[in-house]
Amino acid sequence: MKGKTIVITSGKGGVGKTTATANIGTGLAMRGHRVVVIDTDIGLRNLDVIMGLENRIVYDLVNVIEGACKLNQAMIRDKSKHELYLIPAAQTRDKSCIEPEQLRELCATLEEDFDYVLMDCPAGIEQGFKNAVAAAQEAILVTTPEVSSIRDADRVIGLLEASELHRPKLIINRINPGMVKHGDMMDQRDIVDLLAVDVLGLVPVDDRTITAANRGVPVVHDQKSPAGSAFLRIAARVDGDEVPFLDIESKAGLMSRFKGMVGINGRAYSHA
Amino acid sequence: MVQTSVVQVSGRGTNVDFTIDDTSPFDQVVSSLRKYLEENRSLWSKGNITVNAGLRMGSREQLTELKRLIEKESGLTVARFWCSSDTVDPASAGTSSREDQRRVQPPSRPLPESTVHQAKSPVVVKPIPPVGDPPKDYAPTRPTLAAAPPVVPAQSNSRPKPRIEPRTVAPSVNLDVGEETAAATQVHSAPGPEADPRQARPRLQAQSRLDERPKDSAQLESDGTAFDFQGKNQFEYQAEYMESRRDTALFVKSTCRSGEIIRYSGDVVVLGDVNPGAEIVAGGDITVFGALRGVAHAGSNGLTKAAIIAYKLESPRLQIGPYIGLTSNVGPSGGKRSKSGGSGPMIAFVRRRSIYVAEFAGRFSRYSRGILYEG
Repeated sequence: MKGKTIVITSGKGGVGKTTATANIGTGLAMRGHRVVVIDTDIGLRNLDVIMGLENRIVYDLVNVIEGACKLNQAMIRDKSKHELYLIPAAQTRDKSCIEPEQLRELCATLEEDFDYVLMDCPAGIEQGFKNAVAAAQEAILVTTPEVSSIRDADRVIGLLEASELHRPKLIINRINPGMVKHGDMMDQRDIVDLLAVDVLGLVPVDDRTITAANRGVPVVHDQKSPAGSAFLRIAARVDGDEVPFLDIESKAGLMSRFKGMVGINGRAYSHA
Repeated sequence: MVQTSVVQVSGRGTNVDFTIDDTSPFDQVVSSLRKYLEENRSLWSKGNITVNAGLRMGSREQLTELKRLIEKESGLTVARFWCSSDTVDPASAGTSSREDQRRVQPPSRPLPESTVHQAKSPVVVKPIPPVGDPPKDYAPTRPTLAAAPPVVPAQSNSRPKPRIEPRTVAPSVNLDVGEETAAATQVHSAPGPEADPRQARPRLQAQSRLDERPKDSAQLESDGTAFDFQGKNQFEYQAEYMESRRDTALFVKSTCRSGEIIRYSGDVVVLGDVNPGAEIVAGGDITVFGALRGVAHAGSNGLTKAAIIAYKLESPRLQIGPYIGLTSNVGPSGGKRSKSGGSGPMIAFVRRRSIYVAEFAGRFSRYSRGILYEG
């Protein structure tokens, strides 16, 4: 089995990299793949909390790389019955204690066993970013419809291209359909225009993302929630399926939906 | 940015620029470069680099010494030396071959494919104008190794005209670009220390007409460009112009993203967008076949006749020569305003010591009705 290593990155912090990693990982596992997610945010680990595996951690990524434990000792099986594993980051160390080369070797080993190796990249463009990017074959970029986040994403695309990771895929997170409708939030078309990359998915803002993270169950398990279904679609697209894009305006109200049906409503974002 | 008196280093990731003062003596360059590399040895990983000798044209021994120094101290591999064609000394070019003069081939050490941080094939080659001395002229000054370049006085009308055959030079220089240009110049300009045509060239005349570059006379007529041959026939002028502008334009065939700086001594053409946070510094014109949302500085050597042309001119800061145009209101998407312009491509130029913009109607048209750039 020869898997794929994908890094999930953003540049700016707090845009939802860790949430996206947990959800895409879970989504891929729900589709029947063997998936391992690696938290490379050494010193500020979060992925274990989002996945609800915090109190099962015995060994971590740094232990594996330093040879203090075996690889499968550090892999924590997810609570769901799917083939999903987590390699947590060390909380008491910092990013400089691993080298890009070591992480790459680790990922190469994991690719033998797994279909997908997902790496949660730390914010910033320093050592942690370089570690994660060096090991990856593909990149997924998470951004929110804010100017600062998009600026950072633009910078990161430049750095990814310099590291031979061409054409990263874009996830636009936390889209507020109402605000977009009133012109208070950047339209995803504007974002795509500026960044000039392919869109992997659009995730609407959803309270259930937060409650799910607090409970330690990724929102993708809740397929009725807008964000959960969006992440499931993203997972399908990562898997190579052609999935139509989420109509972000579907929650905008019955009237506009009706108008959209009969073609009065001018803007529909389903094409993105 | 690390700065010493002679060596300046700037850059990020795989693009690192060393700027070495052109006027310093060679041994001083060597000593300060060695000092710098020794102090910062941990910064380097393996990779191929290109050394731009700039206006300095050393002997083969000197280039080899530089190469050995860099490779020993940093672990980098010097893949190639290059320099702009102005720097080839016609006096010495006659004796040794051009290849010897301008290139030092690297030892064929294969690079490990595995290291990602090594320099990949460079997207943009960045010759950097000398930082130390304020440029007097658009055309680069004479290369010197030992002393400051002789400054050609501004009032040079009385100087002898270049001894070149205009009719033969113009097409051949026109065709030759990049490295080949040097060869062309060597052939056509009369070598010999006693009559160096470039030294004697009336520089300011050439500079003042840089932007009125003629393709052919027919086009000039149709454009209605005010054009003063100053008593020269057109071919003579054209030859002189080509002589003054042997830089070719730099084509950037991708989007310039935030954090990228493109510096070039000639014109820059971007076949994509220039995103917010990116910066373009060109000695000549800047043309963007897309949206210009980053910072653009044309005529960075003080050439106020340079222009900035973009399909969408949404830059927060335009600079031409010393004059700066700033926007006051930048929209939520980093530049959504379109107050200063219609829908088509726009040109920004200097007028009354300010940056004006107008709808683009040809590079050499008269723009009498431009408006102040967001003034």
